[in-house]
Amino acid sequence: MRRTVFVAGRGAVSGFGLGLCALVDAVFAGESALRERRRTAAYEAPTAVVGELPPDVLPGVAENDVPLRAALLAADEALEEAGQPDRRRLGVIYATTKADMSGICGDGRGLGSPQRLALQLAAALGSELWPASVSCACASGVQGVAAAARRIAAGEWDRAIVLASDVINEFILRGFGGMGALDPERCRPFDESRRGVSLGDGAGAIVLSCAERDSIGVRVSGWAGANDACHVTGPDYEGLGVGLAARRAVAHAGLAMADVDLLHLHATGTRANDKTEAIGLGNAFTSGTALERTPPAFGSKSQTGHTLGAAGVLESLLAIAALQRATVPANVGLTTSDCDPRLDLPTSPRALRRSKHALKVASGFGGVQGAAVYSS
Amino acid sequence: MNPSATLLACGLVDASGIAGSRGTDVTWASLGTPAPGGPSTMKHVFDKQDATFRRIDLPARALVLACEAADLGAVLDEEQRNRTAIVVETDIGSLATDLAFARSLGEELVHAGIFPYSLTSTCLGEIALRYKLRGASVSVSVTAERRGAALREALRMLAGGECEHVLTGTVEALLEPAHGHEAQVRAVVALLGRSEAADAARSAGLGEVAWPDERDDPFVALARRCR
Repeated sequence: MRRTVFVAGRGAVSGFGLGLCALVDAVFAGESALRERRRTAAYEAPTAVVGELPPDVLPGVAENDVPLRAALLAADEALEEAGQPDRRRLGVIYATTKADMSGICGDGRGLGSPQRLALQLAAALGSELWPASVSCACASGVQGVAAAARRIAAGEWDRAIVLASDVINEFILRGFGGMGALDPERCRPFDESRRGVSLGDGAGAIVLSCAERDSIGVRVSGWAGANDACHVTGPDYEGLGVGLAARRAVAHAGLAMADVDLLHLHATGTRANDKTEAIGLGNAFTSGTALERTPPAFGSKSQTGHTLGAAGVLESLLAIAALQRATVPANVGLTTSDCDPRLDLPTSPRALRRSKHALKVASGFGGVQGAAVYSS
Repeated sequence: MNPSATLLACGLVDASGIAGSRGTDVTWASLGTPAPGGPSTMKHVFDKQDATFRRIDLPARALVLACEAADLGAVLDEEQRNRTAIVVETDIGSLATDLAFARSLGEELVHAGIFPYSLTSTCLGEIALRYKLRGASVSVSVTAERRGAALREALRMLAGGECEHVLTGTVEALLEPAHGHEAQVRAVVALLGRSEAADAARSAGLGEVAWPDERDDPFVALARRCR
C-alpha cells in the first residue's frame, strides 16, 4: 500500500523573473520571455533569442553559479508556501542536465556533477538527509519528481523538495547550435513553420509531503518512465516511448486515459520531436479506448524557452496551474499544426469542463521519457 | 524500507578485463586492447557485430560490454525487456566528453557529434536500444565517497511495483587523469527481478541482492559475483 503524495509548495525562477506568479500569469496571458540574447550574446549560435533570466533576478551572480543560486531562490518560495517544514528532515532531490560547469568551461571547481551540487543545496537548506540527484537530460525534472514521490510513497521520507535548474551557457548553446537544433527565432512548437528549439534559463521547486494537511489541493498520483530504445538523439518514429510513459503513468495513478483532463507536452519545436510526440500521444489516448483525440494539450517552451533539466519541474507547475484554473492556455507560436491531428492543441485559452487530472510528459537524449500525473 | 531482489545476471568491465554471468572472463592483455575495448572487441569476445560500438563514448562502451558479459539478451524475453528499467550511477559521468567538447569551443565548428554524450542519459540509451529495454531509464549522480544510490533506486522501483526487472549498475570511464579524478574504467551491471518475476524468468537466479548498507559500495560485491 503506497502512501499518497501531496504537493505542498511550489517555487519558480524563469525568464519571466522571480516567482511562481510571474511564470504562471505570463504563460496564461500568452506572453513570451524569449528575447534578444544579452548575457549570452557573445556565444556564437544560430539563434537570435533565448529565455535568459532578467538581470535583476540574480544580479552580479556568475553564470556558472546560476544553477545553485536560482534553485535556492525557487526553494525559498516553495518552502514558504509549504509552511516552512522542518528542514532537517526534508529530503532533497536535485535534477539537472549539466549542473555547475565552471571547471569544464573555466577555472572553477564545477565538473558537471549533479550530486556535488545536490550536496551544496542540501547543506544550504539545512537538510540532514543524504540528497539524491538525477540527470536524465531534458526529462530530469519529471524523473526528479518521480524519485521524490517514490520515497514518500514508500515511507522512506515524509517530506521532500525537488529542485531542478539549468542555465544556458556557451557549452549548451553551441552544442544545440552545432546539432542544428536551434530555431533562429522564437520557437513555434507544432507549427508547420517550426525550425527548432529555443533555450532558456530556469529553476523550479516542488515540495512534496505525505501529509494531506500540507497539501495545496494537488497530489502526485502517478509517475512512470520509458525509453524509446530506438536512437540516442532522435525519437522513435511512432513516438513509442512517450506513449508508453504516458500510459504507464496514468495506470500508476489508477486511472484510465479518458480520465486525463489536460496534457502538458514536451513540445520542443524540433520537427522530429513534435511530429513523433503527437503520434505517440495520439496512439496512447486513442488505441484501445473510445477516445478520438487527446485531452487539450499545451506546451510552454515558446514562452519560457527550453529550460532543459528544469523544464520538467517548471512545466509541472504549469500543469498544476492549469488544473487549478480549469483552463488550458494557448499554444503560443502555433498557427497551423502539421502534426497528428489527434493531439488537441488549443491556439487560444480553453476552459475545461472537468479539471481533475493533468498529465505531464518529458523526453530527453538517450531516448529517456518521463511522465507524471497531478490530480486535484 | 528494506526491499531485496533476485540477481538474474551480472557483468563487469574493469581495468583487468571483461567478466560476467554468461561465463565470459577475458583480460585486456589477452585481447591486446586497452579498456574499455576497441572497434573489434564485440566481435572478438562475443562474436557479435555492432556497427556503432566504435563511435559511442567510453561509459557506453564499458556498459555495453558488461551487458554482453551478463548475456542480457538471453535472460529476459521480449515482453520482459519491453518493461525493464535501467538505473545506472556515475560520479565522473561524461567528464571525458565534456572536456573534449569544451576544447572544441575554441574552434570555428564545435564537435557536435559528441555533444549528446555530454549527457549521462545518452549511454543508457545505448543500452536500451541494443537490448530493447523500454522501461524507465534513470541516470543517477553520486560521489565516489558514497555509492550504491542506483541499486537503492532500483530496489525502490521493484518494491513499489513500478517494474518487474531493473538493470542497475555503475560506470566510470576516464582514460587520462583529469581535474583530480584518476584514470579508471569500471562498469558493473546487475539485472534484478522481483521475486515473482524472477521465478518466471528464464534464469534460475544468482542469489539475492539486499538493501545495501549506507557505508558500503554494493557494486564491489556485485563485481565479485561476475568472476
